[in-house]
Amino acid sequence: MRLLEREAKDLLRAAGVPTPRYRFAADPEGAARSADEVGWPAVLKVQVPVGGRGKAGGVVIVRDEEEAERTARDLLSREFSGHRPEGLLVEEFIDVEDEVYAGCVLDRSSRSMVFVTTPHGGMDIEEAARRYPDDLLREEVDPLLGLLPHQARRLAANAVGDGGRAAARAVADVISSLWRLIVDTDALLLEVNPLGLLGDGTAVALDAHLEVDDNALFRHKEFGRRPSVRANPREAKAEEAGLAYVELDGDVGTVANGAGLAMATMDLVSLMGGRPANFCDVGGGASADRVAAAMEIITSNPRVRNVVVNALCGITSGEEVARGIVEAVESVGLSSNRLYVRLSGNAAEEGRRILREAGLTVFEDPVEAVRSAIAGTRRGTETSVDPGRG
Amino acid sequence: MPAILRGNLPTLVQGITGRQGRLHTRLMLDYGTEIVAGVTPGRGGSKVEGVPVFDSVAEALDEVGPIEASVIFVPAPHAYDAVLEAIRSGIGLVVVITEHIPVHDAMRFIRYARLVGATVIGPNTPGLIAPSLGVKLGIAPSSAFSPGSTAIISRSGTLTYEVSLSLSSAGYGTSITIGLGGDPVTGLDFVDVLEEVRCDPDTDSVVLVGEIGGTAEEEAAEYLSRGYPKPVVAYVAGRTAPPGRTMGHAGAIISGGRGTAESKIRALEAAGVPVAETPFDIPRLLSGLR
Repeated sequence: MRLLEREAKDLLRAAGVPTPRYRFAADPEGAARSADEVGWPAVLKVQVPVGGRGKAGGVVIVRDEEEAERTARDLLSREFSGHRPEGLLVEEFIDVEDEVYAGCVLDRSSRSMVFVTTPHGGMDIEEAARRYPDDLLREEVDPLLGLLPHQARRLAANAVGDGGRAAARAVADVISSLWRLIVDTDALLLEVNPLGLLGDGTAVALDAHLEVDDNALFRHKEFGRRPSVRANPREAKAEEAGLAYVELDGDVGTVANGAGLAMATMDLVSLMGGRPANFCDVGGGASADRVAAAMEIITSNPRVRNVVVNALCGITSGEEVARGIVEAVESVGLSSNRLYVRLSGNAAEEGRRILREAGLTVFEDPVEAVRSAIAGTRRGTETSVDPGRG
Repeated sequence: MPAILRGNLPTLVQGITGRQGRLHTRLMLDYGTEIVAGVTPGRGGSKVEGVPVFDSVAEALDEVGPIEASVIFVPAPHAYDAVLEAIRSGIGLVVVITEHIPVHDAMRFIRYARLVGATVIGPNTPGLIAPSLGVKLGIAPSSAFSPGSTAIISRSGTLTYEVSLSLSSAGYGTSITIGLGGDPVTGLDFVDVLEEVRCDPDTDSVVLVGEIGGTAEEEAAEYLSRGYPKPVVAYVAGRTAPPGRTMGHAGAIISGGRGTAESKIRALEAAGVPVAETPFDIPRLLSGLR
């Protein structure tokens, strides 16, 4: 889960990392008032849980109350990568001497968090790595030892270059604080970009990007349960139902029991010349209520005509999975000719019999199920154009 | 068999009294796994499927003698402690079935395991199954696996069963199937297991089942490009997955342009590993190599 900048900055301040003075404003009037409090000129920054807001015009310097209010009204009415801003951060404008980069992210291959610094702050780290690869310093953090002081000093020296001993000390302090914050919040990414260096040798976090581990939220009640940030209503609904559902722009719905199988099913649709409408995993057991929730969400997508159900039964028998599918189809009130069900594995014959008796189109071979669903979708489209055919 | 599984090891089930723990203890026993004890703190003295339950791993060791493997069903908030309890008690192989374990917890117990020479499989894995030994440490449905000489190494669950069924129907059984786990950080990756089965006399070919996210497939390709004594075939799920979205498994995400199916397929093919378009093409590719 990505926190908003203001949440990340509150945490940074509590961890002892200096930030500019800032206020949070939910409306244009509040933004003007807050700007007056932090001092002119002030920076208005939209609060959205996605990156790239600067390039999208979501960060604006304002010089007086009238401009602050007008700009805030405009920013709050816009969408940034599909997200309505959750208010504005109103921040004191700080004229820094230099901007550097400090970040720490999960590195899967080394199975550890890796700190990175470069003297090139203010640009994407990917871009900095491409343009100035030699200026990048990586330090793997041993998960059992944590970040050691000599690592923080090396990282700071790399960021600051010949910017002076005071700046190097300040940046090393910031980096050590960032590590403590990562451990305290179960963060998988913490980036301060840019980290501003002031003439007096102090460092100040101008922006902050913090992503915490969703699987660790049980021990971080402070982050609370938040409503889905998905702009797509079906994705939001799936998230609340605890279903793994991702929408694409095709017209063949897919659902499978297992994440890998669900991806393979989508790939199969595409390979056979169709266009998958979504990824959906109902989990290995494929219980009736989860299948029903999935069907409801998938078929509420106006682009979807037919749905491929790919059920491979293991521990949960085919009979049980089949009954779940039938129950789901009935509870959602789906017309059975929109479903193309593949059911194989444990007790599959009995399961397929149950499905056939319920009037569903049943397959043993997933390739056939997908082929038929695609053909059925095409037929459906043609039928709507020319009722005389099919 | 690879060194990781020297035979039917005396096995412990941690979290044995939960719903999953009970169900899969029965299924593992039915398959032939030698389960000698279970642990659930506070439930010592009871029995599950005839297996004695203890309050701690230390107590289990005192009462039933040596234990060499543990299968973990303990819920995510307590899994960290359970895994370390097993490793610190000297158990050399720990299979972590539990899903949703915080990544920082996994990083710590995996690092600790490596330091003391223990093996962690998972988290979020179906475990391993070796049909000819009659050993199953995990939750794989035994009906999907028949004895043979192909090793399957997979990042997936249900998809692994699909691959195994497809191999079986073409006459290929499996020597061992190991689920690496669907999380971003896992104890073993493809290279570790490829190294394990490299000289295993019971394995004559290997199938890799990968998916989007991370670089484990690319690292496997790099390893295989230096030469491998057995035919290897791969399948990678998620060619149609959009970037930036988690596809069910916490580890299945294309981020920052890394972890795409194309990159993995390209790397594997460049290393001379045929990559199947669908799971059902794997047997055909395999027969072409033997």
